[in-house]
Amino acid sequence: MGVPLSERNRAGHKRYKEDVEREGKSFWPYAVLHDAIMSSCRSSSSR
Amino acid sequence: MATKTSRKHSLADAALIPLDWTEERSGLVGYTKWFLFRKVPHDISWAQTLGAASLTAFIVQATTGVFLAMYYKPDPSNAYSSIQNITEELTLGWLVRGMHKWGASVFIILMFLHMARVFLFGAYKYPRELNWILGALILVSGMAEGFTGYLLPWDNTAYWATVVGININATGPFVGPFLAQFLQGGLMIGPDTLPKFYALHMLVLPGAIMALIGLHLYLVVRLGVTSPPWSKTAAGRERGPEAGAREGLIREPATEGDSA
Repeated sequence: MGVPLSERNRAGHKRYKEDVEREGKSFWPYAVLHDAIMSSCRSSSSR
Repeated sequence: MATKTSRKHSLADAALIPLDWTEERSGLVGYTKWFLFRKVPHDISWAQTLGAASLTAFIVQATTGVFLAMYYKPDPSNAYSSIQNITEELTLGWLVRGMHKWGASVFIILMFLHMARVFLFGAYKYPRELNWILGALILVSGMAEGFTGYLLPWDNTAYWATVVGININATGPFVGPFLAQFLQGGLMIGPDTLPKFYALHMLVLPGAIMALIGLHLYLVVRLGVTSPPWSKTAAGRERGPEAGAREGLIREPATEGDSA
């Protein structure tokens, strides 16, 4: 007998929250400034 | 040296006074921190910026729309000439109108791309179903913005395109004829249609879109951003042998009844 889908979904989302808390990067300033702006500056300067 | 440091501290304290004042009365600083200082999965990429790009396109539309509304006259005898005045006489009017006209297409295209990304990443699934519905409502409202805005120049193209659009609406089941009559403000397109479209275009629909975007963003922050489906280190991934077994990657142990 498998685990009901709703319970699997809830467990999956709980795991998602824990993973993001443990392995994720900060939205500000890392994801916005570093990923978006600084990486584009780096790629344009390397051209 | 000590005086310089203490002056620096007192300047920093002075800068914080308005922030503290606002926070104490509204909690806005706390909400901003909640929005900005959160974590996102480590493997997000440029694909996840399409939502922010759509929001930027909407802000451009709202800003240029405010300037256009200052000079546009929503009555049939003056509408076309006021558009000509904006385009040909006003300083940078051509630019603002051009940004608004082409920005409308950009807004819709970005929303489609954003929705395609959400669909392909499976980001509409539990627990983000409600946010998908909100996004779809924003898309429909954005398209309604395009439809109502198209009539405003009040030239031949605008008039006949609206006739076609309203006729299509009229073919809808049950509510179609009533909707068509409501949009026209009568049995056919006339002087009442233009102000009605203008009110919908610059008050009702932008208000609805802003409210929907607010809810959409709240849910994005609350529920989080999904990792790309191909990521081997996706946030929320299943671990252990049962993850492989579910995907058919690991063979279930053979039982006595198995023939081969």
